[in-house]
Amino acid sequence: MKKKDVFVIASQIVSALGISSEENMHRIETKKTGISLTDNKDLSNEPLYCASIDWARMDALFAEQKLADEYTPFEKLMIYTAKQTFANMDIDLSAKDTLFVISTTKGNISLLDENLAANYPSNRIHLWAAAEAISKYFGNPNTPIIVSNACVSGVIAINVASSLVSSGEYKNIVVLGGDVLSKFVISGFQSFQSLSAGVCKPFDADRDGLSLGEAAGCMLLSSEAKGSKIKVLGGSTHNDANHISGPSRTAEGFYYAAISAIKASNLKVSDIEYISAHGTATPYNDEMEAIGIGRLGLQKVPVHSLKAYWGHTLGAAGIIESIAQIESMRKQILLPTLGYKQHGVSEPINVTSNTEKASVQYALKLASGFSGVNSSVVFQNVEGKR
Amino acid sequence: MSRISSHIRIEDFKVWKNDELILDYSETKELNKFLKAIYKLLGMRYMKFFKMDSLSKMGLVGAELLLEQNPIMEKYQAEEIAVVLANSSASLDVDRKYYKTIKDADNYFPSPGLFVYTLPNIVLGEICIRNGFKGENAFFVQKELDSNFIYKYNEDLLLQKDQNAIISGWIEVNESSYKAVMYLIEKEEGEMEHLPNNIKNLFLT
Repeated sequence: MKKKDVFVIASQIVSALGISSEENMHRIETKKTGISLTDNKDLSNEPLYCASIDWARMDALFAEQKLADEYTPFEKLMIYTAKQTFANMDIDLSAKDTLFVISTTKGNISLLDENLAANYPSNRIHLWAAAEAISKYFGNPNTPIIVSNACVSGVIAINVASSLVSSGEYKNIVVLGGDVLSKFVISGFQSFQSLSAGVCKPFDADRDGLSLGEAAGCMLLSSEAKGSKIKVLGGSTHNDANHISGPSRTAEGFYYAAISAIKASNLKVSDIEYISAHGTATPYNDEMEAIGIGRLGLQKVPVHSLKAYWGHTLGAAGIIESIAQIESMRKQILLPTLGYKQHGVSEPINVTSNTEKASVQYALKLASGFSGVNSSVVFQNVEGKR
Repeated sequence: MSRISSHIRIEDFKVWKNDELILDYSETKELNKFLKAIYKLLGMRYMKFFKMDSLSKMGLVGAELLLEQNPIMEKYQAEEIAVVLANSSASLDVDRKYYKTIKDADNYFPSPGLFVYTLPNIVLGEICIRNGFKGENAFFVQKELDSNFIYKYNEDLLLQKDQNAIISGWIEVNESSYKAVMYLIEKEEGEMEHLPNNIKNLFLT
């Protein structure tokens, strides 16, 4: 059976940078971070640098949308982001051939606190219950698919959805990813001593760890172009088989994930013109990615990391970073890597510093995460020129 | 048509391999001792096992049982062997344990060794590290097993993503309730056809 093309027909981002893709893109293009020193005892006993959503602004918007208190902040954020994505679109979310694919690492983890949990239906600590609440809000008749695969969840979700559209099983798929900041996650990264003392510095010589963030991103994939020029091509995920909390020194899984995605896209490695790295700004991750890009022979290709803008947003990361890459392809620009001043990885990779004009046809998005997992996906702008 | 070449079930303090009861530990009623008994039964020597959470321990012995008489690394390339698992409670069992370490400011001792297991996909990494598998990985959370979806996802890996073998199944631990049903899919070898109904039946028998 002939496989169908898969188009990205709408998308939206809510993060510390803003409540729409436009606001987010403007902040990135003008190199403004959303990470700041935060003193909030609900999140951390000590002040820390992180990228928080403006919840006061969000609460006003939730009220405007009449989002009832039966939904947790995580669920409201996800619903709001999806709603903004479909605004002004002619799409039937209650159709049998429309599906939700949800990406999150910790969902409603704050409900482990019994006092908080008492405010919501009792099963909402479960990811499947939160996902069902979200898809039911939109009247979708299908059981949502939930990917919970650490920091690569978002990229896997895009790839799962893309396969289901290209096989013809669904016409439209809502790929929705998110995670909110919690003491649970922050304390864990603190215990790993993997957080930066300031705003993280991807690929920089002085990088000292990652900054955490919170966000939601939504991408609507469809077999009908509806005017979209952006296609999702192949994707892949591979394990390093090396260590659960550190990357392979030879970028083993990273390399296979990229090669398999490019092959599944019927492209050659040399077709790739633009890379969005995971770029968490931990010493090991960025070095591993540089080695992997070197192994691919793509040292000269422009590569960015967006982590110094909105932090590491876990289950949202793969989705919002893909959206930003796609938006920049549409706008025919390359995005700058904030925090990168002095080259700090062993391979001479081409890390972007400024917003530059460039027309790109094929772009690669990469992600890596705990358990030694690496994912990738290739996007095409059919109007891009080499 | 791909095949299921072996399957296992861990439930009610008993272990079945290809429908044959191979361990009955039902007098103990303690999950950790039970998992250690499976480890011993397999003659494993793998110290990392004892650092793992229950979900990873169960996944590791489950994979070991599937691969006992079938060293698939001799047949396939490392990057052609995938691990695809699903469950209902994600990592909630260890999430609760970790939460206890951060709940009170006066008794605050978060441990990285515990935190790292608060992601359900860590079990995939543990299976890959133990066996050297570098293929596709995915962890799905489902209220109950969606055998149609898992079937199609795995078939796609075999047909479109150059995978030759997949360790797949359901692996759930939530306090005292647990269950593992795992199976090995290969392209040509195995008695059972890889079909959604056959997967469903592995849960019932």
